[in-house]
Amino acid sequence: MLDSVKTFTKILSYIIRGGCTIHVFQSTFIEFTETRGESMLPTLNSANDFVFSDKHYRNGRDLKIGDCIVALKPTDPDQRVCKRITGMPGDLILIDPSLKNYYNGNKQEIEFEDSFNKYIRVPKGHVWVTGDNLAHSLDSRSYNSIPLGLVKGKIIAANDFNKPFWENGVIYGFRKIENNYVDEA
Amino acid sequence: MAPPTPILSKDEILRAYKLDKMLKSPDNNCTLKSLTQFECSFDNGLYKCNPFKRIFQDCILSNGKRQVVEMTTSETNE
Amino acid sequence: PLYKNTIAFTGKKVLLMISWLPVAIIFNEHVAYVGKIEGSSMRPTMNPSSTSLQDWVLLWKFNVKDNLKLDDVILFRSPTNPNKVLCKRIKAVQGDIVSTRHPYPRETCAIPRNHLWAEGDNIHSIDSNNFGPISKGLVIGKATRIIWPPQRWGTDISKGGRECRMSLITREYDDVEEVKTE
Repeated sequence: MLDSVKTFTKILSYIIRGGCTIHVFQSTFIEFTETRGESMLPTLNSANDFVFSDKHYRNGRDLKIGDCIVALKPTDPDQRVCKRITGMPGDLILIDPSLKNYYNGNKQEIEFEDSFNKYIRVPKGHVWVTGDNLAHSLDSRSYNSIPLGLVKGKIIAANDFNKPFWENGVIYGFRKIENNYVDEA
Repeated sequence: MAPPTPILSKDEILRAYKLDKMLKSPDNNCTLKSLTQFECSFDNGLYKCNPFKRIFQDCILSNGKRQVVEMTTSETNE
Repeated sequence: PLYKNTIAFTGKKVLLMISWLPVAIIFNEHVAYVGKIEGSSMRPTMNPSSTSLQDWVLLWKFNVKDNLKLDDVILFRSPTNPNKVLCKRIKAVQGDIVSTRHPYPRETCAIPRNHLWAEGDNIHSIDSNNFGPISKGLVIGKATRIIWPPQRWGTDISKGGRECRMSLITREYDDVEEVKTE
């Protein structure tokens, strides 16, 4: 009887220590989690995509414009979002140049021009984030810039579990997620 | 929620940050940059994504500070 | 052989201690932690004078984000500088309308969903009047009691600061009006 209690506590203590070690690793070095939703198409799929998030970049350390990040949603901190940084502190950027209007009359023409005329300056300690799929993304355009303190990591790579385990030398559609802020040719 | 952020028109930022002078001055090292995002729609079981390119002037000012200004217009996106 | 045993014994003990280190880290990160309060923004509740010792508080973290109430003292990451942690008191929660103080650019502010209005007890404080309502996601923990220095044990930290919620300010104002007309 006493022996079985001893074995049980021993196993429990191994589980606790092992679990905590994994958790510490995940929150300091790298985390591998699932992402869902259409907001980052075509960079990330709407389902079955898993991302590697590098924790060195948490709280916004060393981030640059064009990086993909994981952050807590400011209006619902239980949810996490993947977005791309399109404005660093101090940058002067357009709120939403993607607003589509059609030249069907004077009024729309004005609105269309207007979307290229609404600037903001990203405040200190904040970043402006937008989803890669501008048509279906809830982001800074609706909840304003987000504090760097909500940033949990930078997405450096992703696996696609819709793809087969092995295809052209790639495991589960593994690919790097690059910064797409580049010199304009 | 971020601190209250005023919305400025192009004229206002041109004036407030003396942009014309900043972009033309040879002391400031400005490069033209772009960032491409997309507008996707679901069509016949497949996602169709049209690229949407945003243009930025990325300047290292003579005082060592960096200033990024978005230059996207309807013409740059055709 | 005795010497060899001692090394093996010490090595085993050290390994055992290291294996518990992640457990301690997780406890500090998610359950409870001890934090030092710096500066005068929470005066007179915390650090009552600049000559006395600085206060250390017990910071409760477990399950705290869903249980934040008015007048709780919280520690949170500064929205303007993610490397700085601030200690303030919750003076309004989501749905409240707040009467702001200088230098906030508008007279009132409606607190959005899952946001808090945090102010220091001291009027000289950098708080929501500077950077607006803060997201609950920035909250690190709730200060529950002062644990150091010992003469400050049992200090009541549950009250402090001003009333800034519009509904209450106007109600009090209405009461005064009524008395006048009688």
